[in-house]
Amino acid sequence: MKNAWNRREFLKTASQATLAALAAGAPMSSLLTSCARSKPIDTSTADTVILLWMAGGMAHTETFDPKKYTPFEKGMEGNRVLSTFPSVPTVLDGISFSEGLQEIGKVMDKGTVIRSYVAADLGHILHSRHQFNWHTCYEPPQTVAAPHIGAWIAKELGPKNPVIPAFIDIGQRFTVGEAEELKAFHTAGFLGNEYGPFFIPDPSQGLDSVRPPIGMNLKRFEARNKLYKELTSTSPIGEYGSDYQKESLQRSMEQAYSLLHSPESAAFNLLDEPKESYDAYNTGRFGLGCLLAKRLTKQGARFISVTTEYEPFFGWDTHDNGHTRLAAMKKQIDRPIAQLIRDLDESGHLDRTLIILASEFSRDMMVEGRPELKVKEQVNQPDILHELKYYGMHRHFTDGCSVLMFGGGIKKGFAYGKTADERPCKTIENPIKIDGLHQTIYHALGISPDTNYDVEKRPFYTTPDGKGKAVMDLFA
Amino acid sequence: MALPTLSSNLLRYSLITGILLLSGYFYINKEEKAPISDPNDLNQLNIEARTIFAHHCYSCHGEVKSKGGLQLHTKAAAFAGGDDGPVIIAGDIDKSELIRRITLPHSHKEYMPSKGEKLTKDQVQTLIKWVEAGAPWSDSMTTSVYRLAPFEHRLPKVPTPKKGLTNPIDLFVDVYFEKNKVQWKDPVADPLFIRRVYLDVLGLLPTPNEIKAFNEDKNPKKRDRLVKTLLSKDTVYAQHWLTFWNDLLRNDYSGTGYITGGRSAITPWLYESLTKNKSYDSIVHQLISPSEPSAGFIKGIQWRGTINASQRVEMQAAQNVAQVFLGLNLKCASCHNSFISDWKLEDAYGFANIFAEEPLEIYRCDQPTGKIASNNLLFPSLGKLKETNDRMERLKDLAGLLVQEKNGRLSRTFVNRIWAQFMGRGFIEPLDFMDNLPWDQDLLDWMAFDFVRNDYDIKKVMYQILTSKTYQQPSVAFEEPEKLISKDYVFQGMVRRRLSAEQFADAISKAFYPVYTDSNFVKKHFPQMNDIKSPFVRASMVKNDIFMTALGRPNRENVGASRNSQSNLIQALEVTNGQILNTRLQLGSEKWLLSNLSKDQLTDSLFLNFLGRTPTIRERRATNALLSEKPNGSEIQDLVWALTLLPEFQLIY
Repeated sequence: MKNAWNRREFLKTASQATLAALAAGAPMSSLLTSCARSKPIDTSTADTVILLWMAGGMAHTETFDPKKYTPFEKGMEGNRVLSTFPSVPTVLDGISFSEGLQEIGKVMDKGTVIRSYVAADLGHILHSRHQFNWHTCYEPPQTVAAPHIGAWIAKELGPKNPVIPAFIDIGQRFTVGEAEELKAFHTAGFLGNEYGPFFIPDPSQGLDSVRPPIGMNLKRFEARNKLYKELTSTSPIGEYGSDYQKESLQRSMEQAYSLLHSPESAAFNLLDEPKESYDAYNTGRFGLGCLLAKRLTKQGARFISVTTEYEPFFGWDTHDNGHTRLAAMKKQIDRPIAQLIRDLDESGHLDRTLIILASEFSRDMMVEGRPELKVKEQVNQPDILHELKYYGMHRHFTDGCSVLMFGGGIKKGFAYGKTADERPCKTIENPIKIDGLHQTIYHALGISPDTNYDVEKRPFYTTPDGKGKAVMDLFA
Repeated sequence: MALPTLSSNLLRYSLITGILLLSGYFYINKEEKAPISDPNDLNQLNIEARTIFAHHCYSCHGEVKSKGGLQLHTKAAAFAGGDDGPVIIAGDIDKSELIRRITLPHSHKEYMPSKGEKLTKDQVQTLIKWVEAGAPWSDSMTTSVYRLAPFEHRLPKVPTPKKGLTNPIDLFVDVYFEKNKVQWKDPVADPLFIRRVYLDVLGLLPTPNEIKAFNEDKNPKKRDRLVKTLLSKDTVYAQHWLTFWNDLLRNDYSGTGYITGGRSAITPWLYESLTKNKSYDSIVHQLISPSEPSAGFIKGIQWRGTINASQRVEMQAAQNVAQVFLGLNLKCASCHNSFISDWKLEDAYGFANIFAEEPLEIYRCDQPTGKIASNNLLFPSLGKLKETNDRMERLKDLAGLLVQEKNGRLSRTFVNRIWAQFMGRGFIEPLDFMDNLPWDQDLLDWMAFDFVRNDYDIKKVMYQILTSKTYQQPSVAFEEPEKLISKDYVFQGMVRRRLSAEQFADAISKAFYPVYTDSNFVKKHFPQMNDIKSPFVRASMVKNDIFMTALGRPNRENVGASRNSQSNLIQALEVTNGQILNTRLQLGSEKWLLSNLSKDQLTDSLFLNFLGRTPTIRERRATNALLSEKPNGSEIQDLVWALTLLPEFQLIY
């Protein structure tokens, strides 16, 4: 196995890839001019990023920032309810999580909980707009196609291991509601397809994406490739000379072949995982996504997103039965996330792997939007609760959300920011917005805060106008 | 930390000397310096220096941003300097921090500009001269630092016919070739020509029979005739050109905004316009002053919720109309005064205001200014809008003014796009920046004028190009795409291109087995079509999918003028083991198996279908190594897969 890459070798490959990407660029559109500033001394603290995406709006008071617990009673007043679960202490003094997240609570000595993320004000809530904002740092619509954060990272750093795609997106299908809006940000935008996501909608089928087509054995696959290469080299068009289109076509076919043929592709096969470990992760698709993320990280992935999957009114998008459904969601995420942290810690990868857990916004039982700027209601939530289905955080709340970070230079056993203990449970200390969050990630990776490209002669920055600032307090 | 003064000076002097030697200037040293005193020279220097500031410095040191506290867009700000004091000391290059910074080695962390293009040696020299001459900054300067292309038409005289050339395009190109020392080459042979013109007009490969008949045709006018025939295939033509127009007008069958009614498609109208070869001025008029079926273009895309002021739908309309029809970028100016052109925030709002029900309040960088916009047509030569509160009335007025014959910009912008479609590169690049210089102004101007003279007949422009010797020149390969857009680009013939995602899928559909069929067809967008007679559905008429996306079909959220023709890993993986292509190849091989072909018959037919020729001996040797005497399904499938990935198949030569 040639899984031991070294940084120098990688940098060589990456810069070749970057050059190649440029050389292979479109006539016109993808020839980007960037700030070709001299490389600063490498101050990075991470090489790999894993984003654990809690799609649909994860209520902070029901997860990582619990408030006073009020059990359900018929006829109770909704306004009294801040949390529908009791709190359980974590390994950190004075930090409790909502019941059902004990496993993550046990690994908090390896990471930081941020309790002061403030989502953007985008008016009448549409999840996919906030998700667009979270992943690109821009508010839609935009005059140019904004790249996903994973694409920026792929563009700036290239793949860590040349045969593992630099941006891997696990778990999201595009056959769901709001699919078009989801597609709009699962893209490299103006950076070019090259840096776009490599989709693995179902982690248990990950291998299918990186092996010869179904029904084709390796022998046949090799014979087919041999024929392709022979026909290419004997083709009479050789006389027309070389051009960048032909070069890029042949080069990318080579790359694809080596990926599909490489020992690393075994990393995509979850059945290779020892049963005990497989079972530890297997809480469903999200859990298996975490397992795949672990395996790919070990083989040198650059950016991986694992989502609980967004589908309107499913997952964390609880317009009803919030309490009951959150119990199930926590079951889905608690064990595999904790296992992922532990496994990467044990193997030594956590030091250079930044793991972030986040959601597009939080939820509340009463407030839609934020207290000072309420927006159009879209959830039927009675003031007096007669049925259990109304017991839960059903409205979309943007003024206080929780984010977790582990590894990659982030402080261990740390809590940052604060929300109010009484409704509205909004951010009251160290607010952090999306550009700060992105710049924190870029900082960890050693990507300059004013990275930008000229698009239609205008500079387009990683964060709007290059203004975001990394939150240095989060770093160890 | 700055370098010690002495060494930095030494460094700079050696640099400057080097520059001077290289650029052939004679350096006047301090003692014998004769200051420039002619006011005209001073003003010229003033303009040149400020042009450099505008193009290279404003994006960080301008109206919007003031990195290090420095702004260079006004006299007062420039001489006030930055946080660490003045940067320009008139007459003293040694004390001028600005000169120190721009003469540092590029790798130095204090080198300026730290972003974007480096200054050329001439530009550095200009700034040095400017400071030495006392840094003249005249506010009475009227000449703009940005080029604005002429608005009016211009009709250059067609050069006298010679060397058997008669098509005015060839005559202009002939003059251009002579000037640039380019030799005419023999036109491409029939097989290349027929493939090229089929793909360019109809987006499809010619069948082996069509190629054979064309090769055997002895009529000297056969190429002309072929072009005419293809252009007259209205439906097939429309189905190919849909792709170009959909990209340009960001029209699609799915995408953001539809979910909340914040977007409307214009497909039925567009398809009919193309089928009937509607004149370009009518197309533009109907998009800007629309009835229901063509209303989607200026309607824009609105997701739910509030949006950034610079992206309100009226502003989207202004940006897109300016970009698509006038090759003008207003996006910068819709947030603040542009730093890439003379367009001001008020101009952009003034133009957007025309599309608004109620007068718009001007927002600067998303903050309200309290000022209300007043209508602005951008180009005074367009005339004046009538005063009216009726939006539809106003839009009709606007549409009429834009399509006036005298609007040279409108037709130049479009002719440039069509040229780029056939030739792989426009006269002017990027296609949306029509204030850049063309490689040949005369030819562009003549074509734009001729377009109007021919009542904006789109097919006539196409005919003019496709029947030129110029179009029939061998394709030109570029090893590096940078050269394609460089200022030194010299036109030598069609630039080699790659099949679009749609052409690629259709070529496979036609040569082997349908990639898309009736079940993929977005029927409701094509109410005119009762049934698909062809065995396959054109890829231009299906929703975007992972296969199309991988091959470069854009998600049409923004206006797109050109596509990426590079290949990449994501794309290679999709064609190597992606489900869509793989399934089609498998189904196709099962169908072909039924024909019970021998090894040679199969190879011959597939090569003919895909490449328009039979295999060479060496190719046959390669295929023989894979195929059994009676090839089975997997063998057929694998041969076809290899063929689809050959550069000869994927590129337009």
